[in-house]
Amino acid sequence: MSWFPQIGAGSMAQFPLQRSRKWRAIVNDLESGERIMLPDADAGQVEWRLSYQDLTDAETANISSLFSASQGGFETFTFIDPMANLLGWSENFSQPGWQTGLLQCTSGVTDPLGTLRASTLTNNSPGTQQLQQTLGVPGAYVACFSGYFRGTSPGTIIISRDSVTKTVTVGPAWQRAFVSGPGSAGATQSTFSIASGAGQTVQIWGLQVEAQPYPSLYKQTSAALGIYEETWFGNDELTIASTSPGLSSCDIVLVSRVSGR
Amino acid sequence: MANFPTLKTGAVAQYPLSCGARFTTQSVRFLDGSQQRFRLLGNPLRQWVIKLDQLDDEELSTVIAFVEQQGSAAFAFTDPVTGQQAATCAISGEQFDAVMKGELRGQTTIQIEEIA
Repeated sequence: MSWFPQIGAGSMAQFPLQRSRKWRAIVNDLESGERIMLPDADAGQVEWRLSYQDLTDAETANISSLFSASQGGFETFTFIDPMANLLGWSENFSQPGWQTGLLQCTSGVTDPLGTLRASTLTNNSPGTQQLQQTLGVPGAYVACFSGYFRGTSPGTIIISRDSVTKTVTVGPAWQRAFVSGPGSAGATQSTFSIASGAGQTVQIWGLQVEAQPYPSLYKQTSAALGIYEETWFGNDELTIASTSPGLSSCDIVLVSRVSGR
Repeated sequence: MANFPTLKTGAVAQYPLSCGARFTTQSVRFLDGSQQRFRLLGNPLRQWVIKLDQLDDEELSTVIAFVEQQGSAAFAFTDPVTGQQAATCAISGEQFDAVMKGELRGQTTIQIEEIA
């Protein structure tokens, strides 16, 4: 299994970035002006137009290697949406994508925006418990797991991506914390978790995983989207322009299949 | 039924906003040059072209998530000009483009049409 390479300190793309969602449907326009549509759920595609500037030789080599290994547009690889929050159901911890252990999750808590989208995690067990979700983010990828946290009493929680952890001090005010970096070498999945100590109660909101080194604005999700395992080069030709010693630029079109809607 | 998302300002659309209405008339022309026309739609079907610019990550993602969820399904849309709600609308065409040109510089264009 191969993945599209990250560049720089762990970014998937540079600005400008264009995302075109395409879908297909059988459409009947009736004389009355009515329209009957039959969606073709397995024919959806997302086309990505990536424009890279000032790539180093190593970054250029990574892209060229994938292009060669993929034989142009022939083979597929995995591409991760640079604009997405990869966590599924970011505010609904009752969904099966989340593992809550013995934590009690209560929704409808006031969040930093003043709405009621935060949740309370209560650990009534005698040991540390984790809220976690596992995603198909390879260990070699830099990813950033972030969230807003608040405690009913002062304490600490641990946020982590696999074995990379960060201890966060929580108090009465909301604060955003994140853990960033690559995961376990060679892993094809990553687990993102929040560990709460025995008897602890913390409030959480805005959990987000992004394939980049630092967090961006929180994006609420209602499904697990953003990891496209069937992606291919949109062109059979890759042109890389050397712009100065050791620096290059290129434009790449990728196409990802979106199925099962 | 889902509702089209609003921006952080509470607005649905930005200038320039293009709105239109469409009737469907069937016309039969006879040999003598006269015509007979049939009105096939009692009420016009409206359409809007929503161009959004200077969006931040969150706003652009909200629009993308809405399009992903809706696909070709119908949703309710409130006419930004008149405030009247069109109960059965759909996203026009078979493609939706979203561009992030830079920080806080997200752009997208969505064509919405009333289908019933």
